[in-house]
Amino acid sequence: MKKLLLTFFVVLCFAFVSFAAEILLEEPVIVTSAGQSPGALQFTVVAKMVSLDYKFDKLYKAEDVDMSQFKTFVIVVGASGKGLGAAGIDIEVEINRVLALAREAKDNGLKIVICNLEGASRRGESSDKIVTTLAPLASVYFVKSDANEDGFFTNLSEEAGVPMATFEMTVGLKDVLAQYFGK
Amino acid sequence: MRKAILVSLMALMIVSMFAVNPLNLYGRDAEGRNGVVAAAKPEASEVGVKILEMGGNAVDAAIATAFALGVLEPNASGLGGGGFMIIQLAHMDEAVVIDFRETAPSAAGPTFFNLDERNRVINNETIIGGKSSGVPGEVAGLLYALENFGTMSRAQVIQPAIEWAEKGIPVTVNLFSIINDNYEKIMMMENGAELYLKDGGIPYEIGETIVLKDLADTLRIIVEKGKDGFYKGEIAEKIVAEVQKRGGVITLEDLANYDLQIRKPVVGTYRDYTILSVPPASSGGTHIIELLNIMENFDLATLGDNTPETLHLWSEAMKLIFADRSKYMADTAFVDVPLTGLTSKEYARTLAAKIDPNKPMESVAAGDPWQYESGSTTHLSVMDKEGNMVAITKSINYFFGSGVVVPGTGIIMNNHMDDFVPTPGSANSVEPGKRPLSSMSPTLVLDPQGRPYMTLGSPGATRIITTVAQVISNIIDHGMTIQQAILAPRVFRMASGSMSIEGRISINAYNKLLEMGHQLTLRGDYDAYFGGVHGVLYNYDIGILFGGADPRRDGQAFAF
Repeated sequence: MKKLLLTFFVVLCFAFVSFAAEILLEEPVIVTSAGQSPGALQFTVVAKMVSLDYKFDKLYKAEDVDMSQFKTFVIVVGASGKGLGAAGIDIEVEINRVLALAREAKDNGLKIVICNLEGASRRGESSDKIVTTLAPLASVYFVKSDANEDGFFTNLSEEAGVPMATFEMTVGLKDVLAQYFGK
Repeated sequence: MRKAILVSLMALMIVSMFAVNPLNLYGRDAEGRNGVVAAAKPEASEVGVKILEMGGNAVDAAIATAFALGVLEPNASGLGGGGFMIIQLAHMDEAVVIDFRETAPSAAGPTFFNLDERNRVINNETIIGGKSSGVPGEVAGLLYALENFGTMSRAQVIQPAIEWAEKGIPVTVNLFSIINDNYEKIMMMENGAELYLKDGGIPYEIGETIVLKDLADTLRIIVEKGKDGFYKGEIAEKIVAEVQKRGGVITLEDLANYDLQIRKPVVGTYRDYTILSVPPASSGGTHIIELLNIMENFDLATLGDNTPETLHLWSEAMKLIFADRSKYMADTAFVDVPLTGLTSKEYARTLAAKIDPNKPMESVAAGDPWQYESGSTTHLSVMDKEGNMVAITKSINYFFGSGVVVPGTGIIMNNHMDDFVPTPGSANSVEPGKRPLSSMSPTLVLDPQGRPYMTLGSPGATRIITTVAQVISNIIDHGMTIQQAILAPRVFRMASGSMSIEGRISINAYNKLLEMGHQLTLRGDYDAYFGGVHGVLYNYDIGILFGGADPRRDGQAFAF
């Protein structure tokens, strides 16, 4: 019984950071929010931990960005009524803004990361709509585990045949970034 | 050893499983024969009950709970804030209100805030940074109550708060979500980020603890030196330095001169129950009574709870009281307010007569109560078997207040200057030493025999007024228990705009309200927007005190 429990917890612990870098991402990186939650700013805190070369603006517009200067586009998804309200935009405007950026990135050969950093608290109708809209353009998913309890991201990842890395705690993204960016 | 680790891991897993459950409706209430404390954190309620068990009175328990809440729920209230308290001990002829609301600094005036050409505040000055902070009143208020109505020493009632600050406060689902929602504000100022985030800016995870050692040290200074330990000397100097560094104007003199106000409660009745609440500088008590006075003109018991007919009446009455609030309410030390008229039954009848039971009013103007003149927060309630009642509502305003965290003290400064009208010419414009208009409404209810019956209150800005009134009505009109009354779905509206309704209101009521012509905003099933009520009710028939607490926050009542 003890052995069984021990095995269970060992498996569980490994599952907390379960990923393998099936593609390698390159710098420099451009980061934006999709939904105006604080997740994108939190991403930059973790990015600094691995000295990632990035530029960040939560409201980048496609017409203002020269995507050819970058190799990877990170979209941190999280719909926040408060954040959208502060930015003076609604969810449709936000989706169109990010979609235009993602298309521009794809045209310029960037890899596109869709990241859920805030977990289950950023699963909901609006956040899910952002993810599914962007899904055809995704190169890889970085997902906090509790956002994927219903297999939402697993399904998207498997359907598109793109990799997904999960992490149990926010700071666990550091290991994901290190692995995917070869840090 | 291995067994112990396994058991610990399993326990951790179980705790985590429950921790991620966003809403636990069970175990919020408590009942006891001797005393009950209901507060927004279970640990704080437990602190209060332990004080009662040690022989403290209801005031001792309330003050211990209040200091503990400042540690355990630092996002909502604390040493850098202010509030209101109402006390009625069994031997007192009349309840007393302690107004420890913040005051505007002496250098602030009607043109204090920078406005753009459309009179909009620039750079969120009323909300973030030093200008948004008023002179805090919490320490003065809590210690005044303890010294004048309590029986225990500062050390006895503050020690539990110190212990929690040192042990660390649990990050619940609710606190995690609040920190995340206010992440950018916390990140704006390095002192806040150092305290409430980890690893240079990552939010603590659910189940982790946040240790507040500086706050423990500040509380120790208050234990040792009393009020002067906060309003004079090293702590005061640190507050002034940080607030001014962040653009504010609070001075050492402002802190040294902070003066709480002792007031008579505003008094009304609702279907033979007596309602005692706080007068201005809070608008809350007055408008709760005005709202209940209007609703008394309708047979809500027959109309039913949360039926479209009842919700329509609440909505129309709310329009009327908020029209009056915006026209008349302000700090009575600076402005004449028609308090007697606003709480008059006759005036309420004229307002009730304006309500069409079948369709909503399109526009509402303030009434004329002078004709009848002849007069982001937390709440805790304590009541004991002697009938001693204490209700405290206190706040730093928005969650995490102004974002200004005083280095080395753990103090988060309030942003209650945002409760002033930022332009000159209003009854509630900024003036030196003035108290900004509040909605905080700690409230006591006496039964038709005049006996202590219930203590309650809520956070939630202007929703406090309507939420407290709806909970009172749920109990008196619809016969609910205090916990049922707290759980029941709520509605809110101002004088104009749409009516906000909580998600659990029936689809039939929703459709009928639309049909009647209401504009509706559908909110979450248990939405913190509608406040978080904590109350205690005494059932004399069985001699038991019932505590109710709100799942819209982390509320839980404790009893013994």
